[in-house]
Amino acid sequence: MAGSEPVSAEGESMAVDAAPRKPRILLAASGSVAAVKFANLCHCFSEWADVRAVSSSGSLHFIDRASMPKDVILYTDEDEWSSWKKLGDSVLHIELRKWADIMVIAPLSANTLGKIAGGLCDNLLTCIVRAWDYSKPFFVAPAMNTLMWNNPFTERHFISIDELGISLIPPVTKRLACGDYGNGAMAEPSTIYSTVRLFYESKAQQGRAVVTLR
Amino acid sequence: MDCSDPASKKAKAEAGCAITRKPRILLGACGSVGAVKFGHVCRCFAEWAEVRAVVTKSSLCFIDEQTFPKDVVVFCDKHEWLTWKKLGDPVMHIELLRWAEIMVIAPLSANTLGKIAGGLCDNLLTCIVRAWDYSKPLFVAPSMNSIVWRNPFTERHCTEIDELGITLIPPVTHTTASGDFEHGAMAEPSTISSTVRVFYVLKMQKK
Repeated sequence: MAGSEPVSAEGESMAVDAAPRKPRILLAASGSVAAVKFANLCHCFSEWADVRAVSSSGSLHFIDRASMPKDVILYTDEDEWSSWKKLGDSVLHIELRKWADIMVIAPLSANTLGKIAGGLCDNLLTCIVRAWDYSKPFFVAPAMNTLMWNNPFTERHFISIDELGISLIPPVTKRLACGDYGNGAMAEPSTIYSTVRLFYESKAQQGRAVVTLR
Repeated sequence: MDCSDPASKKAKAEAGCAITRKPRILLGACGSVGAVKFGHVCRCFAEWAEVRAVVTKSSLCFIDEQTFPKDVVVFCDKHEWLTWKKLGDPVMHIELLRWAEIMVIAPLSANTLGKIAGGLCDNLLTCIVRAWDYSKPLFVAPSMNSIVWRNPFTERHCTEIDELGITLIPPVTHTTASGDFEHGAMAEPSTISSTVRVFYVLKMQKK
């Protein structure tokens, strides 16, 4: 089929050039105050990876678009159907899912956590999650105020997403402990970046080892 | 740090006078036909409590703001981030949650019931519920069409919220606005108010 040729070609090139190509990281922000750090997070990853960004409508209140890296495209809900006119046209959340090697949601809000745990997909971000290929790594860095964190749903939802195969980058507990509900919970952008990079490079080494053994 | 600011100190001082002070009750309304009675619910509670109200976007279709008592402040989604400009600024759902001693959602719609049962928090009302401290009482008075009430999800969701610690004030057999004569109509405002008041008085007596 005509529609599958470009994807196959791209797949082939990926296989041949896997080692030297920059990893493709899809970064996403949901509606938490900690989203004020999203631009900083994108900068951290841009130094090392090819980055695209997705934001939920709730997170846009906190993201300063002017401070986003210039080479990072930021997709929002209104982009979802802009490329679709008729059957056969590309759907954005499917294209982004195919493009990405790794996905990171930081911050992950309590609301989006609940949606993911329940399989809901009512916006661009949650549609990508719902379609995600779990042979590829997926990280979340939650951010919510202490009172929401203590609610029983949080633990229940984390169990659900852990079963899906999502890795948790835990919040900074010392800020939670003092009751700071403004921004405190999310791990530092540098921590999120180094966690993902270490994971990626260790996986890349495993891949090369397998190739060598053959 | 926020936990040592003047507002917190004032709150602690006021807590010491809990017995002589009117209870603080946060009333919530969802998008159900029963919301036409929300003004009446507020009046019933305002007779014996200090009241603030939270309404969802859908509930505004049914609520007549002119029926509200003048001393009741009404919050809706647009207020959520009005007070927030930078890190450290207050977040509305947290401020309301800290203020309230009791929360009552009347009417509770099927949609919001499902959201609460699933831990979703996509508006001011559901954010407050998601962060609620269950050492404080939370009541809900459902209101939905009888066909919706009988759907299997309703029982499942009611079981979920019961496990959370939410107390249900059951709907009544009534003729609903859509003409059905079965369970589903919200309990009467006076019933809701007296149920919560009895609970509050009993709780105070234990202290």
